[in-house]
Amino acid sequence: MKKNFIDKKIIFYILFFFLILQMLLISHRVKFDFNKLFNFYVLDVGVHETIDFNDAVKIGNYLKKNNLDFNFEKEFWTKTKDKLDGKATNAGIFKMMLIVNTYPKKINKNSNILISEKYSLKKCNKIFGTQNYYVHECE
Amino acid sequence: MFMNVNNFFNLKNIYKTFIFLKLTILFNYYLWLINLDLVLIYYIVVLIIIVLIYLMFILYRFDRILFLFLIFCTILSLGSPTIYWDAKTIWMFHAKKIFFDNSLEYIKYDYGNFFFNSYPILGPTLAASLGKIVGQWNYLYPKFSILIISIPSIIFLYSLIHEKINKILFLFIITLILERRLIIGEMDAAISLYFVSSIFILIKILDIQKDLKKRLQKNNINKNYLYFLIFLNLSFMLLLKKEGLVYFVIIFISLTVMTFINNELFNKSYKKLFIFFACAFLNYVIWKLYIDYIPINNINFHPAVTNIFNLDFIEIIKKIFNIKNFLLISGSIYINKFSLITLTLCIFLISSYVLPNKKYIKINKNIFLFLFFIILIYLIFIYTVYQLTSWEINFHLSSSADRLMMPLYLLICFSSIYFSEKSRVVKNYSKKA
Repeated sequence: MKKNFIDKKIIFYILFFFLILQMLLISHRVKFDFNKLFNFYVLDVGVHETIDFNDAVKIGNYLKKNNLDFNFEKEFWTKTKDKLDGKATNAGIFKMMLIVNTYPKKINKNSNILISEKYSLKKCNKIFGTQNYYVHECE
Repeated sequence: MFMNVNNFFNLKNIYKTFIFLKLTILFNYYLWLINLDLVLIYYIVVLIIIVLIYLMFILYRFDRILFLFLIFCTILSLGSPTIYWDAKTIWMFHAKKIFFDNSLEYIKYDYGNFFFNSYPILGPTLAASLGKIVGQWNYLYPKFSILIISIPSIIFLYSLIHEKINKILFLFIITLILERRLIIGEMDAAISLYFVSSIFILIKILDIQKDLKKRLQKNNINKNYLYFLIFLNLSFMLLLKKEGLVYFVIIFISLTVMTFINNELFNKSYKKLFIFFACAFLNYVIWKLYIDYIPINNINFHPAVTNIFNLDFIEIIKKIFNIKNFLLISGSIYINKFSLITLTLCIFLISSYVLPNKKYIKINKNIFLFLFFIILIYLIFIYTVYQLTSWEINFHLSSSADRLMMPLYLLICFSSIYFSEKSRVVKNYSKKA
């Protein structure tokens, strides 16, 4: 009787140990950070890890800071249209991440602010840019 | 003063607390839907937080392991960014839109329609309400709302197990099967927990355990609480994710089939259950009407299945019986670590404790048949979805197979733990007798 009790207790502690290990593994996978925990209520914490696309973070922050609605250039829309195989391109991911980051600044079809992969656009001035994507103010 | 742990979980108070918590979450959802009053939403969120603190307080007094587990999950949820694709682009983005618009305007204007604006929004509305209390948006705390929604189901399932070793095994299995999904802001873990807990509330209602009646009387639990719980559970399942409708249908068909098998046990509760199923389904109908009322040019169906509507009947049949894809799907859903964990646990527990106890199997043969139907219909659903996919099958399988199979893995694991414990209890009881 006593032996059974000890066996169960050992199994219990082994399971408990593995449970803790598994939780630690999960904390590593979800990029847990104590600094973030203590700032869980602060504005925009975790934006870099969430958006995970440096160009989208930089351009998004620029648009939010300057209170600008925006649109994508025509060619860029075509390029990033959803494909039937479900796989997104790099530009497609940028588009989605920019939309997620900039909200409440929205896509506005009448906006004269255009986002493009091209360094220069006709009748437009480049007002901001990263290495791969540019913000243009058009006439 | 201090109650025994098992007594605490059998008390009607815990059911009342679950019902109250779920009702407030549902109320919060409807407040957003009818766009009534933001002030009322503040009160509702404060109420939800108070109920949660109360739950944590009683867990601290009566079950420290579960208390620590939930606190650990809360810490992980609040201290990690929203890094997973569906969480950041669908669920938490819907929440962000609701938070900033103070309404469901984004659905009306179908903003960013590639983010599936027609998806149900029980989770996002709670996240947006939490945002109203915090006062500003970030990428950490909103996903805590999904954990809040999952907590009643975790506690309910946990309360069905009585041995300490099985309790810790159950929590370990949660971390193995649901893994990080419990805290990352996606709905898959929550819907899996609601799927399993709905089935086990039904098992309780169907009076499968011979001593249930006695226990209900002893603890003064009105059986109506369980009916109300199944209504809320099914409502949550339907409003969490689109797959909820499929799970709802799976449970309903299994229940109906069991009733047709002329089982006195099932016949007794079927009529009443049917009413509660219909009431729960009403929540889905309201959401569907809301979406259809707005001229949303969006995807009422996932892009992976839109191709079906362009195929004729013969092409669909050809696709369904494609052997090569059948083998690919089987490989993907049976040969992975989750399946291995599930099968190992199931085979070990069932063969060691349930199968040798013939008397127990005989008493519960109806409930095993009920579970068998659920698993069978679930697998038919999985095979059909992947056979008919518009996407490249390997890509679709690698991106979603483990998520879609998660409720089934959890169901098999939990059933194995639950029935192995029950069969041992029955065996020991009959030995003593």
